[in-house]
Amino acid sequence: MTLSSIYIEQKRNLKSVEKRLEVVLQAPDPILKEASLELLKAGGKRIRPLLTLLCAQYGDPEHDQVREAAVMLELIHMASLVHDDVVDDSDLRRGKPTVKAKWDNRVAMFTGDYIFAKAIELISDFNNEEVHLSISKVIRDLSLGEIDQIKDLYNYHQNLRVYLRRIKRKTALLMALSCQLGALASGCSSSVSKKLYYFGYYMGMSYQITDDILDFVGSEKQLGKPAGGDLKNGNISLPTYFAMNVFGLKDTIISALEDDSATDLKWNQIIQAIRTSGAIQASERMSDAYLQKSRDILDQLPQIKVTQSLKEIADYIGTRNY
Amino acid sequence: MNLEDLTYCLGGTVLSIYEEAELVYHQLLHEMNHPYVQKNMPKPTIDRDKLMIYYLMFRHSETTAMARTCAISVMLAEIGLNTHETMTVSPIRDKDVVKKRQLTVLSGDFYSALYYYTLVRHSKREVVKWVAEAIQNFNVQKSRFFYGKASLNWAQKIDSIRIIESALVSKIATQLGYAHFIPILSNFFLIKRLLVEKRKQENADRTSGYLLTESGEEKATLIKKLETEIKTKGDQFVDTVNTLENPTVLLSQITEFLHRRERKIIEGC
Repeated sequence: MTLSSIYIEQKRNLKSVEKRLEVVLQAPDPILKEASLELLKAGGKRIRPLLTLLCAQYGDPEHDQVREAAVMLELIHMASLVHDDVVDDSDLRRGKPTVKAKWDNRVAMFTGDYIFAKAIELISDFNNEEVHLSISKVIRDLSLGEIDQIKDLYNYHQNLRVYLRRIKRKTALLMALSCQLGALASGCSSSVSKKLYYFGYYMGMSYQITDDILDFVGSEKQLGKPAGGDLKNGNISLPTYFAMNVFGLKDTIISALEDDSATDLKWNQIIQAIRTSGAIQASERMSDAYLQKSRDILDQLPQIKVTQSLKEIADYIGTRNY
Repeated sequence: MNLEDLTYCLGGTVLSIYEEAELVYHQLLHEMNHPYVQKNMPKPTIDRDKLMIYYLMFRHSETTAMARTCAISVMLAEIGLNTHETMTVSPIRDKDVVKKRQLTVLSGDFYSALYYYTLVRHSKREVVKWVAEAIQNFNVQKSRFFYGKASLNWAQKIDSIRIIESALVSKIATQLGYAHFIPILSNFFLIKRLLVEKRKQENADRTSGYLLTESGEEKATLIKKLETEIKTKGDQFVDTVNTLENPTVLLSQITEFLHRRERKIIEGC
């Protein structure tokens, strides 16, 4: 089973999620509607809804709440992207103008808040305390993770634990929740939903580390933005952390980060130095370690077809190049 | 029963409604505490009048502790939206200013996240839904106000501001069965906002206001229009309060509180 065959198999369900998203995002104001729908049409891998739909197969995947959970998760992700583009001052996402670039920061605030409130409204009908406790905690931690990221900008002395906590909050928890909600919404036992939570969590950690690696090794075409953007913005991600603390590039990197007039040439030299320092391989090893943990969890679950699909997704995370 | 008679017994100590409200306010500050945000951002504006109104309304249908939780949660949502209100649109380069803008987005998100987090921990899912619906309406109205194709005349602008400023409080009042309070509540919060707009004009503060001088319009003319509007709305407010027939206990308490506050706010200007 390949990743594309998983997508093909889930095509009907993903289409249903997409349709529901389109209905939910019909805002009664033309600008909010256009901004929301453009965001939806910009596409994306829909990895979170896919995980929810797959994990629901450990229970009753036809349960109404499964699709609503998948829709809610994508809405939360979309809302955070709109606001992230203001935070990062990004004009392009997936090669298309962001809401803040097409309109302005204020419209991006309205749109993000609107979509977030839509997600909460949708989920408020769920009659399961455990679901609400999990979602609300993840949403809170997501915002704490984003604040941590600003707090840790240009913080050259941060340790590995700080980085890991940040990516846990920023990315892994929402992946974990995507898996857990699929299980809970389809009526799985607590034990299965807990295992799926940890599967999503470990995979999410690996996913973010891979993202951070791709920011150095990806091409502008693959990334939809120039490489090395994280570093230029003062974001010390895992490859930078290793380059500074293990591979002797600390002084070089700090001097560039502290130089407001650093040229593109200088940045390109530093990015190249990080690429060839061994930091990328060290980051890949850490990503692989998380992936292995996620595979270990899958070994503890019933060995049904969907378990193989989840293994395939874990493999994709480890090898993706965009 | 008037406001002074409203009391609450806490560990053997009888508190007045104002002391209770003070407790709620401090608990709200505690809930929204984030050391890094606090260190790097101006203190968010907390409309204590709104907090009091939420508390009085919830207190009528909930236990005191639950009323406190609900009032705090709804205020967190209000503060989240108000924080995003301060978002600027012009390009900036200065690192500190960039950081402030980033934290404006993220602290607003943090407060919004807390509203859901707090209510869920007290199993108040129905309130979660009311607030989520009100936030949607707030953003729809805001987008229409600032980016709508049809240009609004003065009366339409004032009416839109009234709707936006009381979007959450009107929703909560409706859901709790107090829809008939809305004219009084929305008028009061409109007057408060118009006073803020007037102050912004007087101080040439161009951040996050509703009303900017239009081409050819003098600042003095806009201030004059605002003064007239504040006077008219103030008179309407007093008339409404004075002509209430057989108000319920809660409505009497709320109008008494708002009437006092309105006089104080107007006198303060």
